[in-house]
Amino acid sequence: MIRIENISLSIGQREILKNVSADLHAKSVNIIIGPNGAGKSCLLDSIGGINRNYSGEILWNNVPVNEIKQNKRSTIQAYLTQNIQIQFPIRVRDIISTGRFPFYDYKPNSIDEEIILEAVEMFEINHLLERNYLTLSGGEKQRVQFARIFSQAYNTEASEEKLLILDEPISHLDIHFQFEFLNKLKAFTIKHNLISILVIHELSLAFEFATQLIVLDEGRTILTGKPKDVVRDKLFDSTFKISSTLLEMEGHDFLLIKNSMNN
Amino acid sequence: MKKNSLIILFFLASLLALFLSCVVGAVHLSLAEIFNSISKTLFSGNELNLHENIFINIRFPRALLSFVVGASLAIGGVLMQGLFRNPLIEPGLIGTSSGAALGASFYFLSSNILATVFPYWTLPICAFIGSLLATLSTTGINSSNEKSKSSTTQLLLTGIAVNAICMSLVGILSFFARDPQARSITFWGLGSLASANWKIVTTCTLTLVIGCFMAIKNAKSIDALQLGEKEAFLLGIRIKKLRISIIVTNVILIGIATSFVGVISFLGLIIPHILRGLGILQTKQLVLAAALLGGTVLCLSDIVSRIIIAPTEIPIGIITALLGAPIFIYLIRTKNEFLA
Repeated sequence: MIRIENISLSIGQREILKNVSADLHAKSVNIIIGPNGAGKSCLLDSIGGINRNYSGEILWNNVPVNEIKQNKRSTIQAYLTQNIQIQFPIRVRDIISTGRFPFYDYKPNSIDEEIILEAVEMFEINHLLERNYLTLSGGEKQRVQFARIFSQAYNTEASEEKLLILDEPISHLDIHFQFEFLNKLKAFTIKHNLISILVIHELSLAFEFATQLIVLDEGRTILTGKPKDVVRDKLFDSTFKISSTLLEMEGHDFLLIKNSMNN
Repeated sequence: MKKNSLIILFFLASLLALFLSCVVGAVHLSLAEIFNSISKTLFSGNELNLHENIFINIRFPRALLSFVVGASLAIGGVLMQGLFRNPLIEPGLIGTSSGAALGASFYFLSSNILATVFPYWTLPICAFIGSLLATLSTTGINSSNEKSKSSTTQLLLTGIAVNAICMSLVGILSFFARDPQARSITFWGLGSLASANWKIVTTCTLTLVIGCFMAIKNAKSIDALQLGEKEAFLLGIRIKKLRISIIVTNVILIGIATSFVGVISFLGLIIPHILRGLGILQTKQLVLAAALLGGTVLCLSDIVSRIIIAPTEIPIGIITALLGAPIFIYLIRTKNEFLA
């Protein structure tokens, strides 16, 4: 379990995060939602070890995360950042292999290769392996990055927890692949004993897939909890400046969002 | 498979280039003379005739030096382009070559005094000190910047500034130099392999081997770095350590080679691009292929520089740029999946 305890973070004079707290459990999909500039990416950077200048604590099974050495940490944590920019031509196969870099020195062993193959098949990108990454479409690039990050997050020791962080993973995907990705993420999280935490903007998808929703606004956690409890709270609508309704149909809950600009 | 056969092809080409470089020149040498020369030197110790002497003391070391220097420049290019993730980088860009040029210019102006201090290898020592100082000031200025995190982009920009300072100082020195000295400065800036001897070959081969080893050791980290610095850090790569290691390797390769032969431009820039165009993309394979292709190209360029208006030699840097540039322009205009 990861416990975020009262973390605050300032960059220059600007306060980005203010007393953020949350518990993230294994086998759970934690989705952060919030308006633009709420501090979502900053929170991920703090959890992932990119930004370490926060006050407060982030504990992983009672150990401060930043006490874990980076070479060990890269074997128990995988973090997909936003907007990966690559300058030189590089084969898709070689990009995905980097996901296993933390686990070997010079040559991948057969387990690494099997894991890579499994990730490739999971995202159906076998036909892209020999292609130059730079020539792929945005959606294809994203699927290649999923395969890379899932290879890194792949858990060979199910008794240990691993952490998977994803910053806006589905923003370049069409609706079919968005659903497909989130389904795969959910299954993968449970199968590999992961603590998954991600940022997405699609509120109805966040509602549908989250084990826990974290609503962030102006650096504060406004709401945390089960999706149904979160969206029923008055603060949910006011944070996003929307009006939402829960609709139950055929035993399934849907989050509907009404255009509130015209009223 | 295809990549491996390309590397074998480059290997064969490099042998051919070395052989041609030994045979072709103001005096044509036969295969028998080469063979006799080697067997006499290694085994019998009999006195060499003129042609055999030319081979063992002039042609052969020169051919080897051209190959080793070309290999060093090309590996430097692979490393620095990889570090900066930028296709416009020449390996000398962080002050390594321009510093060497400044050191050499300093030598040409004051050789009478300096030669008494270092009686041996005065010119290369001056050039290498210049190269080292310029590179150190680039990295030093960059890492002394406490306020913002010292980034690779800042390192590059600092390098460009240090380069400009060095080149303008070279300009000042050549302005004050008298005619023969000024000519020496100009020619040094264009490179020459005429000073080749066995000691220089041994030194440069040693640095090439060390540099090659360090490059291959860092190859995986450089591959990871291509995803971005943040992403490489998340893969467990220690960016600062990697950056220092690459810069040290580069100084060993480029700084020392340049100190002996002068500034040879363009080679370190184009070889990595040509290889990428051929589908060699992983750093480890790039390093090996760059060594072979860079060596071959400089060896062939040296032959051209010797025979084009024989017996006068054209500075080799002119050949690499004058022949390399049109070939490069042709290559970047061809449609290719892998050429950036």
